[in-house]
Amino acid sequence: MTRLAALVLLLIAAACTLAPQYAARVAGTDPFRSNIGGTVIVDGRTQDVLAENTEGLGLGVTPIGPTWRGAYLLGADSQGRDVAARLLYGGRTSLLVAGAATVLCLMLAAMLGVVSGFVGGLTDTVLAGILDLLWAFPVYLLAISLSIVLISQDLQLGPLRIAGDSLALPILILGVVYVPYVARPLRAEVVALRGTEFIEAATALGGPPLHILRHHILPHVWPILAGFAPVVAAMALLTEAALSVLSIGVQAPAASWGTLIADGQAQLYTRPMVAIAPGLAVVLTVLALNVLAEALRARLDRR
Amino acid sequence: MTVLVRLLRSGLVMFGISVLVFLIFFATPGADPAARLAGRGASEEALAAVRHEYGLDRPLPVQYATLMHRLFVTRDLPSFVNRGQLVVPAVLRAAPVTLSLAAGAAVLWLLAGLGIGLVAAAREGGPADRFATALGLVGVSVPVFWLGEVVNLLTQSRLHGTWAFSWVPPLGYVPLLQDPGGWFRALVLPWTTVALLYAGVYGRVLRASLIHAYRQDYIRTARAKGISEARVLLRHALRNALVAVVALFGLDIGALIGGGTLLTEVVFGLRGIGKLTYDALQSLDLPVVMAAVLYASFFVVLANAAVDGVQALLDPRRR
Amino acid sequence: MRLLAHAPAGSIDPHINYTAQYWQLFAMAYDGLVAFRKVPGDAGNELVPDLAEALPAPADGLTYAFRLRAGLRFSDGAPVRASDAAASLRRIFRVGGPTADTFYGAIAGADACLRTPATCTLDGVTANDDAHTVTIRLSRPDPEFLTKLALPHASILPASAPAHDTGTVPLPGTGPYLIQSYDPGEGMVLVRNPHFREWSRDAQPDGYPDRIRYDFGLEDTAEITAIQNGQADWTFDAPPADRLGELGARYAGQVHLNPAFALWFLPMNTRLPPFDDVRVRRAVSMAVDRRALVKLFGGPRMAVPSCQVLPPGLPGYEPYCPYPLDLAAARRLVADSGTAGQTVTLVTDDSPVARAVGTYLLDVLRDLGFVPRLRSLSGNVQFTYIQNTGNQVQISLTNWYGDYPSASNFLGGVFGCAAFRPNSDASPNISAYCDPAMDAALAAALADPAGAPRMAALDRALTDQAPAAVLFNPRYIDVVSARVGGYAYHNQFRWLIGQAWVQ
Repeated sequence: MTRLAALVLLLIAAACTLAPQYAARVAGTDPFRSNIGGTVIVDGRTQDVLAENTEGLGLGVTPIGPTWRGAYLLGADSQGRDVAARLLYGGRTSLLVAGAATVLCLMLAAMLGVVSGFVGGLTDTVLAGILDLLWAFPVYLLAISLSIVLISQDLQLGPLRIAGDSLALPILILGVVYVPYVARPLRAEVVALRGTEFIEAATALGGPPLHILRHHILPHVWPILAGFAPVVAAMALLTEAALSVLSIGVQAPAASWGTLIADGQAQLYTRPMVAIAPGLAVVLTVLALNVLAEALRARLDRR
Repeated sequence: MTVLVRLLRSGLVMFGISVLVFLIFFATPGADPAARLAGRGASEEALAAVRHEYGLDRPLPVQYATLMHRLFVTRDLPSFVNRGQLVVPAVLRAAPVTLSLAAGAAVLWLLAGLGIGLVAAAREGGPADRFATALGLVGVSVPVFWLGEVVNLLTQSRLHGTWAFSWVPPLGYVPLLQDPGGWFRALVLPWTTVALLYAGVYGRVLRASLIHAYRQDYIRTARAKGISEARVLLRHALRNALVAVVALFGLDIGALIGGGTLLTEVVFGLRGIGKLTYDALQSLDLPVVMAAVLYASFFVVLANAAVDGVQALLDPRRR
Repeated sequence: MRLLAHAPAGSIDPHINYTAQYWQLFAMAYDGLVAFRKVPGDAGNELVPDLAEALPAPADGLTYAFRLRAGLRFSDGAPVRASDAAASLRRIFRVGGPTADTFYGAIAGADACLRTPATCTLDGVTANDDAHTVTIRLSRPDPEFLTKLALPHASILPASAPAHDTGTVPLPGTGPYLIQSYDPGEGMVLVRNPHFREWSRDAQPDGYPDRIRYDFGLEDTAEITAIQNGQADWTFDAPPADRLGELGARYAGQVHLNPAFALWFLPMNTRLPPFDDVRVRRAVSMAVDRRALVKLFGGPRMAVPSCQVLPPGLPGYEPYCPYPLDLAAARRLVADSGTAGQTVTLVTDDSPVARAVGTYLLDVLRDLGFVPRLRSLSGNVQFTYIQNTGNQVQISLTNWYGDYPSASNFLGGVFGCAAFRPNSDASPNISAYCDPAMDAALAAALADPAGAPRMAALDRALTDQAPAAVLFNPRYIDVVSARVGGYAYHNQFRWLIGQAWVQ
């Protein structure tokens, strides 16, 4: 099972890396250019990429559906772009953003959760308060405000200058937003551990705190982190879409799985594949990640 | 931690959030509500009059204090977008909707999660375990907005006429006291949609915690003492495993009641806190955003406090 | 009858609200001295006397004398007196109505009222309650004055109406319906006005439904489903693009397509680079494939491509397109102007159609040689954001639906000097375009009874200057439920809701 999951992930990563080749050789169209008036030849017949409806009153246009051929394998989106090609390109962005955000989130959560739980006292109160604030904070408001600020200028954070289309923005935001989700259970576990006999004994024996941390606390922390990793990755993959709609990070016409799903919403009644394909990609990736994380967790827990 | 310190901390958190929201609003270009309040095409005089009427020409700390005063003390805080709409009644009217949605969904996902977690842990490594875990992860990976739209697509549109879904009422909320049957029917699908997202996670977390707990020494001790397997599971392992679940639940329910059901409410036409917040954010309506955010943070803080309390009760290691 | 809309549209004070969504309702609840004939088709553009007995024809072009009909009542039972009419006209200025100076600034005494609204006496309006007469004296001729009196901003309200925007509190009116309740978070309820007696079928016909519920909050696609299921009767919002096909195919009998005096266009800030150079503006207009854009909007049945400022159907419209699709020529123009390589930010709202059009336009801007960026803001924030020149918006995507069927509303209302206010959130002249010569020519054309050809010439001249790239003229689509009968579309007020019935 673990081998299968690793293989799946590898395949996904490889496919995404080969996105430019796919777009050039197989799809034949630029996945970042609108192709509203274009045509494509399927089985010898020329079809409009965006065909005007003719039934009844003849309202609306319908993008071409999955041709299961090289060009427009999974069909076209509302701009006439090849969905399969965008899926692969989107994977690059999504995997990068979600991966980085997950790592950042888990790191921050581990630090905050362990320190807060282990040290206790005022530090714990302050850190836990910060976690509360983070969790209750309306990130969407910040995002909207940011998107308006970014229209005319880049974001200036002290010495750092971050452009509106920099992927660092969504990575930072996603990495921070989900910290309480992981940190609080982690902290709870650390607090619980602190009260166990081992720790009391170890402290009584005069062991240095760092040593106790490494040998008695952290072994319990890794499994929890590993367990949360796929969940955080999934949430990051999806929330990234909300940020991209606000032009934070992924900008039109760039693609990510999240933006593909968001764009596909507008085609749900006519061409559901446009939203289902990236959705499946997200699900597959998360499932594979989970199997691997499970294996990791099991390995770590055995100690 | 004493109750007093806890209260102080919670108060500070809420104060901090209110200040942050306020500052973000005024740091956003284009957030000046005067033009939108005065109506499209207003004259300069009209804009100035509106600014004066709403106190927008006073210094920021004064505006903040006035906002808080009108929100909590006099409770006549007006919206910045819909002239004449009072914020506090709007929030109070939206609260039961979100509460109904969150509570019902919570019941569903806890039950489902419990079932998935127990089955998966008991049959660790087997096909049932894998299936349950996979199911859980699919739930997290599915975007709620998409799921809701698909549910609507099927139950309201494509399959509405069939016997399976003809009972589905029009989108919207029916107050419980007005029509309990209608309330239930209107919420069944939204409940299921929300629960689908969380059930899997809870199943996974419970499973992981149970397996972890099984490996602890006190379980060995219990088994050695001759206690039955079922009792070992329920009395000892589950109790400790629930620690993680409770922590998670506190986070989730706190966020949900405060309006985390936002996208579900939008899709199913439920006028709850989530939808209120969403509309207010889209139109940068500071008073409504402030009221909704404070309402939400209150519940988050409350839920976290409750969770800490319950955890202390559940986990014998902490005593 | 149950109506739906995604969102409320602000105040229900008819002297303040400037949205098509509520003007449609005000047409049923309020009356002015004159009104548009409430029939479908071009006959609906004509004016008929409403609360007045007859249309005045001022000999000097400055004095309009009206005699009010007798026996009319407001929805609270009070009789309609001449002093109510005079007070209502004064109220337009007292509450700081958005069109107080643009539409009604010609009334004698308006200048003083605009300066100090609180003490407005509006000397140009005199009323005699015994004789039931109201006389309006203008300080300068305004050929369209009667038309402006027919708009909801000149509704006649009781003199007791408060001198401020009433927000969510309904004001008594004279129409067949009255607004019973309004909660922006929930919806609105309109019921029959018990004191209404039909006095003129043309001006204000009685309505059929007894009760109209207008609910807010559903998503566009959910609204369409509700109408298909018979759970609602109509929605104000346009159907989302992916429902159009099924609506046109299976619900053709419930779909009504109508012409609208409207356009979708790209205002370009004529005072910011690179669009301060007319060559660049013309290049944009030449590089846009309007047929492709029409597809994004829903196909050729839903919109008609256009290059010019005036929409078809208006007096003064003559087809004119100096911008055939020619990307090569457009690129040359941009190269000549020396602005190639500059960053251009396009600001649209966040509706799916606007984002789709915006995404396509990125390609166009890139082909022209710019470095394009797209920013989408939520609808009501974007609308004020792009008007304020302080935000330095170079180019944006927006639309304009005419306030009344006249060329001056497009030429002057969108591109006139009076419509431009620097650093203001309320500056409909988004292009910051000001040509006093054009404004003067427009006033002259208006004063000329046979001024249509002069309007056409102005249209051509303005289009040549390209302060905006006009994209297309949208059609107006109404989707009603199966049980709605008697659907009639009015050019000004769209679907005449009260004139239809439900089985």
